[in-house]
Amino acid sequence: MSDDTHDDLDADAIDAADEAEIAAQGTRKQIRREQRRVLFTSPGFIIGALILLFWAVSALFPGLLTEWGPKEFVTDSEGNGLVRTSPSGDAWFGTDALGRDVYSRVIHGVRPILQVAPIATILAIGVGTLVGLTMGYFLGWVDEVLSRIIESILSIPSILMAILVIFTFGRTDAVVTGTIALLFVPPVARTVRAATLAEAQLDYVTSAKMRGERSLFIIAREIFPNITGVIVVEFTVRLGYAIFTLATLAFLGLSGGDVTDPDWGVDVSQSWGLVVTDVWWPTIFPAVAIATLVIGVNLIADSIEKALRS
Amino acid sequence: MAKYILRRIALSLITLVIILVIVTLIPNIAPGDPARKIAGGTASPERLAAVTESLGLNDSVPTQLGNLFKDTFTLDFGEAFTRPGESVMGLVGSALWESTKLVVFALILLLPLSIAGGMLAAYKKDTWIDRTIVNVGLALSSVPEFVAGVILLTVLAVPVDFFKVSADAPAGAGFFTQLQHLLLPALTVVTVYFGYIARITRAGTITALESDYARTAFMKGLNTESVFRKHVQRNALQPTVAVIGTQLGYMFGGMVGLELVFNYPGLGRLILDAVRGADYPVLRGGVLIVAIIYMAATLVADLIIAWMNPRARLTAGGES
Repeated sequence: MSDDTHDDLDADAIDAADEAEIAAQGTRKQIRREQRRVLFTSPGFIIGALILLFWAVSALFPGLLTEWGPKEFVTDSEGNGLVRTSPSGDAWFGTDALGRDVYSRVIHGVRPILQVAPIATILAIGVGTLVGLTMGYFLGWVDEVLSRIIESILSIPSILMAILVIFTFGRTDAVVTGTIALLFVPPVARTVRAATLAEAQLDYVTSAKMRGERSLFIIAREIFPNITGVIVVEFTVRLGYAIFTLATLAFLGLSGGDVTDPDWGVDVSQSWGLVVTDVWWPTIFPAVAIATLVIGVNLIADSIEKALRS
Repeated sequence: MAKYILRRIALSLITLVIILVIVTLIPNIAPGDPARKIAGGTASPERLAAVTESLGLNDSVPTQLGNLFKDTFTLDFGEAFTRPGESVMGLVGSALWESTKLVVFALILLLPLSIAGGMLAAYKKDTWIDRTIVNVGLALSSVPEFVAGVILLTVLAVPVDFFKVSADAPAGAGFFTQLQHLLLPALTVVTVYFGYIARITRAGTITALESDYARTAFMKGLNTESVFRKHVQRNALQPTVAVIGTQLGYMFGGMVGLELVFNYPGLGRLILDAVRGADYPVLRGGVLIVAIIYMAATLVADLIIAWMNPRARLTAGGES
């Protein structure tokens, strides 16, 4: 009789544990769904996504949105060239010092940024995640050494580090992409390290260790799935910084490629001297374009972060 | 406290040593012949040899590293490559003085404004005031400073005579004329940094306001003002101090675009001109000085935090 009761209690306990697990899984799914709902209905995300969508369409199909080519010289209905004319029906955003359509150059100018920035960011996230997971899980002297190196690289403003590297390695697109990727590895690794460290102290990791799982399995299958949120936020934040850095490098004349190609940073650098003569349109439109793209990406990053915390 | 300070200084020195190693390695690991890339494809053999010499590439890597250590700790980086006879440190020193003027003026405008903004947002949490401060700040702080600079130049300097296009005042200008010329770049710094500092202050203030000691103080019957002054301020501002420390290096050397837009002869401009003139000794000296400023600023920030909060003294370096 007493044994029976005991068995019943055990069975009850197991049932209760199962139910709790099922409920936990249910709530985790519910939490994810709730987070997505919060994200997709937040005004910041919607505005940011619309901005990004517009620029993505411009990068993919610039011809759909423009009448003139980015290197064409605008002419009016009588065939006269229009140079440095203010915004009008012929050219919405006016024409630049050479007589090219500013609107068309703005639409075409997003492509070089959207080609380089995501690639550089993906590389940085990939390497930085691996380094951060290793540091946060194994700790010890590897972590100590890498932490000091990360700290050192972060102590020089990334734009200066980029200038130094591009100066010695040469001004090509590959060097610019690689430099931005490399410069963003330390901050990504630091974020992922902190997240890994927090996860590694939780019970599920301890029990996986006690089950005798291999470290690789614990890192890849136990910890990694639980820090994907952090990584997604880090990706969007870094994407914003990558665009920021690329535009600045282009403005400083340190990007690869042909200066006659449409590029926001290059266009601002070639025309901002005209601002003092009241010819503001070849400068302000690409400058505002840079601002909208970075703000759009940052709005998305901010909304994802808020949704994950909700 | 003495032990904390020593440990913290030791960490800074290790960081500096690693930076010196990285800076030495960069031209050595560059593929091909970096001197040819820097000098340009049509450079004469003499010029090529001179550029190689200026990069220090004739010596072995350990010798280069040893020289750089000596240069850094004696603060003597030799002669500028493009301006023979002028010492790198002389050029860096005068640029550093110009940068200091701009940074100090910008901080005088920025700190009261952004700290007050952040505290107001925290106090009015979840109201439209809070949302406006946070969102406008976020939007402005994501814009590159050269973009903010050209926009302010267009909307303020061109139509309004009071704002000057060039930040560099004519030689011999009085104090107020200099300030007048510095106003627009300083406002650009405020525009770019307001949101960032306000946000950090807001987060710190909310944490402090929701803490047990603040609740106790409210329950004791203290009014909001004295709770803020006596209990919240000191704790709320710790993250702000830390962030200002880490951002000072950027303000000194990272605003290359801003200094270019306003034609200001600061450290960022010096470094950019060094790149354009292929002057590696000046470039390297400038970058190292910025790194040293960063280290000094974070060190001072950490010491201030340790003084504000004794618990912070236990975790030197402020990590993990």
